[in-house]
Formats: sequence, C-alpha cells, structure tokens
Amino acid sequence: MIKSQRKRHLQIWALWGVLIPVGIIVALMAVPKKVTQELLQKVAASTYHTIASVEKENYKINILVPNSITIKHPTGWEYDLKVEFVNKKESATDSLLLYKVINVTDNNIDKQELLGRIESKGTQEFRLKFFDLRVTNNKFDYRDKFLLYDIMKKQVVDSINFKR
Amino acid sequence: MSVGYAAVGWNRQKKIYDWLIFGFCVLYLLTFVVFTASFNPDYTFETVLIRCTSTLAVLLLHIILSIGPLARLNKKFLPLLYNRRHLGVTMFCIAAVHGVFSILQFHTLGNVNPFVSLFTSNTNFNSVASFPFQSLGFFALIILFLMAITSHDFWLHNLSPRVWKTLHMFVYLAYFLIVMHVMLGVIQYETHPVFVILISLGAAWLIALHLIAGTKEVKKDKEKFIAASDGFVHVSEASEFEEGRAKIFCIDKERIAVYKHENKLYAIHNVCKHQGGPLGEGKILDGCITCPWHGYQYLPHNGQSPPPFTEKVSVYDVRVRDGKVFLNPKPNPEGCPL
Repeated sequence: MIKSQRKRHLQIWALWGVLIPVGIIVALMAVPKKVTQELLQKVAASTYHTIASVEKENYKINILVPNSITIKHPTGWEYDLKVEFVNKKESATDSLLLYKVINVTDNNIDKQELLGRIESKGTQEFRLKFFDLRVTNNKFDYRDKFLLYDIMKKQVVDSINFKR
Repeated sequence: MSVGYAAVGWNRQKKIYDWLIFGFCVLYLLTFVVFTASFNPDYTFETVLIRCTSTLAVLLLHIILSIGPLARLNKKFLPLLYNRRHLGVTMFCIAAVHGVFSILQFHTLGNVNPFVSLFTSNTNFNSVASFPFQSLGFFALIILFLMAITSHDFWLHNLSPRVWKTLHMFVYLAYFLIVMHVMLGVIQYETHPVFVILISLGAAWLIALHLIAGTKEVKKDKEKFIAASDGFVHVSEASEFEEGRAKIFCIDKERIAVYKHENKLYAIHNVCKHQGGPLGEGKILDGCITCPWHGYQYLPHNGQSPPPFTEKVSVYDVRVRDGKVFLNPKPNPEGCPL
C-alpha cells in the first residue's frame, strides 16, 4: 500500500472504533424489554386447557379455553378461545389458510372468517373472538366448523367439523 | 511476473486453498442444519438456510478483514493474503444466498414487487427498535457484489490500481452496514445474549487489530534518518538482514525495501505496480522479488519484471561499509540497473 492508503485505512478504523460501539449500544438500548415476552408466553401456556379436539391423519385441531371459564359461568362468554393447529408431520405445502365457517349458506370462501396461514411444520394458535360454545349435560359443547383452503389450488382441501 | 506465472491461474496452492474454503463452508452449513434440526425441529428449511448463510457470511467477513492487519503484524499470515480474493467471492456468494432467500421468504408472497416491498413494507426510519434493517443488508450486499464482480485482474487493469483499491475499501462501509443490519434486525427479537457477545467481540477484534497494525505503520513512517553529504543515509547493520528477505525503511515519505540476495543487498521501491502491494513483505523466489499479495515479480538488480512482462519499479543505490548499510534515497529511473 502507498502512504495515503495506509493513512485512509487508519482513519476509517479510528472512525469505526467510535461509530460501531455507539451503534451497538444504541441498538441494545432499543431492544424491547424481555419481561413482556416472557409474561405473555407463560400466562398463555398455563391458563388454557383443551375442551375439544378433532384429529386427522396429518394434523390435529384443539379448542382451548381459559381456565377461568367455568361451566357455571353466566350466559355470554367474556373470553376469547384459541384454536390450536398441530402439524403431526411436515406438510408438503405452506399455502394453506385456516378459515372458520361463519356463513353456512354461502360456499364462497371470502364470506368466511380467515384465521391465518398454516405453516408447514409445528404448532400454531389462532384467537377466536366469536364462537359457538354451549354447556350440554354439564359439559362444554363446542360446535364450530373450520375449512382448510389451499390458496395455490384455490380450493377447500379439508373441513373440520366440531358439531356432533 | 515470471513466465510461468498466470495472474488468475489456479495453481496447486490455490486449488488446495479453494478446497479448504469449500470444505469449511460445507462443514459449517451442515453442522448448523443438523444442530437446528436436533434442537429446533419446528423451523422451516428456508429459515434455517437464511440463518446458517448469514452467520457463515459474517464469520467469513471477519476472517477476511483480519487477514490484512494480521499479515502486516506477522509474516506467517501472508499466504492467506495471497488468496484473499477467493475468500471474498465465496463470502459474497453465501451472503447472496442469504439475501435472495430472505427476499423470497419475506417479500414475495404479496402482489408488490419484492424489491419495492423491501423498501416500502417498513418505513420506520425514525425508530431504532423497528428500523428497516433489511435495507442496510441490501446495500451491504450491493457493495459486496460490486467487489466480487471487479475482483478479477481484468478490472484491476482497466480501473487502475488506485480506483480499484478505493472501490474495494468500501468493504469497510459494508462491514459497518452489516453490523447495524444484525444489531437492528435479529438482535431486536433474539433474546439469547450470545449473538450480541459474538458480534461485539468480532467488532472489537477487528477495530483493535486494524488500529494496532495502522499505528505500527505510522511509527515506521515516522522513523528519522540523517543524510550524509553524499546523499546516503545509514539505515541498518548488515548483519540484521536475512537471506531472501527484506527490511523496509521509510525515507522522505517513501518506503524502500532492502533485500538480501546471494549475500548482496538490493534496494527497491516498496510499492508493487500491480496493486500497490508491499514488496518488502514478500520474499525472493526463483531469483525474483515476489510481491506477497498476488505474486508479481521483479529482478532485484534493476526492478524489471522478467520477460515477457513489462512492469518496472525504481531501484536505489546501496553501500555497505564496516558492517553498516547506507542507502541513497534518490531513486534510479525505473528499470535502470544499479
């Protein structure tokens, strides 16, 4: 290297010696507080239990309710439920969408409630604000219907019915 | 250069070196994938690929940026310097896989052009926590791309060594962008401290290494020599020279390399005509002073490259009296024999 290049190298690294530590510290100070994430996960994991399940060859769907819901609860549920989608093995496609049927008279998928995309692996949860949950014979009786829709093929590939 | 030297040829050493790079990269990627499959089987293949290529590219970039100052501090690292461009192109290819799969995963599922989506899906430029860090990685990748495609000697000759070297110094900007890409990206949601520790240690290592090597060079440049009436200056003792190697002296802001070859001393301008490499840090091979960077060669007695090559550097008069070495800092015309 010639002298001017050696000098420029030194100047650049002297500048980086200031800017990089400052950048790292500023970025670290901006990291969202870890406590919030831990709290949400622990509460979510510990305060729900399964009241209904449908099992298929490749996946299983569980309906989770908060532990604080009791059968003696007054009419009108004031809680959200969760739909737990468990992939039993890796799916060949990741283009599946999960819908809850809210319009039984219309086959158009756009008329149903989209819950979210199904990943090809693992377990996912979706929140249910509106649902059909009753108490029959002193037991929870869940009655909603779900659809698995392939966005690439543009067709319903499976339906999951909790009605008995 | 010698007749047998091909500027971009893959000689045996280069092939061994390339296989070592390839083997290391494959081993790293496989290890990463196996560990992820064992401990986090829920991750998709795309996610694992994005993560393993990103960490490997960052690791290789740290190695690449360490080679220059390490070679200046210790000559044992010079063989790495000789093949640094191959490592750089490899690193770009791995970083490109990371970039392409990141765009595929995060920006191709909508109806917006992926590159438009890259710059418009997040415009929180006034927020540190949710800063659009992907754009930093994109610009770093552009710099690495320009460096990779101009790494061939064809571009060195066409752009001139000065422009080429200036362009390739943009790797330091790319490094800064990558550090911030990591800090404002994965570090914002990855809770394990090992990532912050590794990137901080890497940055501290590189900054310290470059500053130490740079400061050492400044000291060498500031060394004072007093000229006698005949223009010669006393630079060293003859016994301090090692056969086939050189000592470098900075006189009147010019670096001069004094080589010992067949028990005689030869002084030559320290800057290689190819890419500005430090000739004094090389050694004598086949009777020629050989640049440590890319193997360009010069005859010690006249500074000319052996035929058919035409590069020339200046040579200087040297005297030895009573075991003391004297050097005339006034250069002889390029190619003129001593």
